Amino acid sequence: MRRWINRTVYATVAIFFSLNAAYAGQVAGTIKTIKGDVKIVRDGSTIKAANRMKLNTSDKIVTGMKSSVGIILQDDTLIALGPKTVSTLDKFRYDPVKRDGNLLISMLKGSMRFVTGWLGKRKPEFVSINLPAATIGVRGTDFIVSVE
Amino acid sequence: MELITALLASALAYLIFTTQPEPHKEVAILLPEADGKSSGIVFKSHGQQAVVTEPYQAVEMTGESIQSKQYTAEEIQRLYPGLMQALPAKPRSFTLRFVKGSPTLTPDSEAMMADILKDVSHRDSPDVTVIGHTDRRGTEEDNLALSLDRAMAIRDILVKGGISEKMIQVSGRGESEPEVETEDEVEEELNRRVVVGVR
Repeated sequence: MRRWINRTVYATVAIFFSLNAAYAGQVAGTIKTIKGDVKIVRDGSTIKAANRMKLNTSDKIVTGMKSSVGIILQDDTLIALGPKTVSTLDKFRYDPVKRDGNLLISMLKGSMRFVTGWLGKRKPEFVSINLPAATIGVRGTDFIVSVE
Repeated sequence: MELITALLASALAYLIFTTQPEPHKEVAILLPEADGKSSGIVFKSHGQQAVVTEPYQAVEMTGESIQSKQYTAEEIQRLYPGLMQALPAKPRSFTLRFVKGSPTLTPDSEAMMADILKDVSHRDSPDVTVIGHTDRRGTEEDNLALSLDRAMAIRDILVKGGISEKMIQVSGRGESEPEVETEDEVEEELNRRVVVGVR
C-alpha cells in the first residue's frame, strides 16, 4: 500500500513538472539582432542578452537607452523592441505541424514593432499585445505600439 | 511616537510607489503589408474599441480619450529608427530538386544555390535548416539514407559558400513527408527535394 502511494505521488509530481516544463519553459524564439544594452530577466535573475540566445515563455526583455533588440519567434513572428522598453513573453504555445497555438506579449513601456507570423495568420484571435491600459488585437499585420 | 513615524514612513513609501508616473500615452500605428494585402489592428481599452485599417494610421490614447491620427512613412522613420533597424529579416524557405535516385541537384536548383547563399549572408545571426526528402520508389531504409545524402550535399555547398557549419542543422526524412501524396513505389519528381529554411 505504502509503495502504491509513493508511486502515485511520484507520478503526480512527474506529471506536474512535465506540464510545467511544457508551458513555462518552451523555447519561444531566438534573439537575432542586438544594439546597446539588452537584458533578459528569467526566473528572477538577470542575464545579459546575446545574439542567438533562445527565449522562453515568461522571459522579460529590458532594453536600455539607445538600445534595441530583434527577435524571431518559432512561428516566424518578427519583433523589434526599441530603447527603454520592458516587455514580457507572457504566453507562447505553437504547434508547427498544425500551425496552431496562442501568443500573448505585454509591454509595460517603450516601443515595439510586431510582424505577425503563422499564429497571427492562422489564429489572429489568439494573438494579442497587452499595454498597461489597452489591448491590441491583430488581423494579419505589421504595426508599432508605444507606451510613453 | 515611533509608531507614528513608522506609519508616516510607510504612508510616504506607499505614495511614492503608487504615484510613479503612469504611462500617459499608448499608441498603435499600422504599417503597410509588404505584399500590399489589407490588414488591421484592433485597439481595445476601457470598454472602447478602435479599428485601424489604413497604412500609417494610428490610434492614440491619452488618459481615457482615444483619437485617430495619420502619420507618414518619413515620420515613422524619424520617430522609431531603432525599431526599423532592429527588425530581423523575414524567414524564407527554398525548395531544391534532385535528379532521380541521386544527391545531384537539377540544373535549375543548382542555380538557386547562389540566391540562398546571398540571402544567408545578409542576415544577422542566421540559422539554416536543411531537410532532405525522397519519393517512394525504393525501400524506406534506402530512401532515408538518400534523403540524408541530399541534405549533406547541400550542407557541403553552403559551407563551401562561406556559411559556418555551426549555423546549419541537417536532417533526412526519407519518404515519410512527401510534397505530393503517392502510392508506394511511385516515382515523383516533386518529392525528390531538400527544403532549406533560412531565418
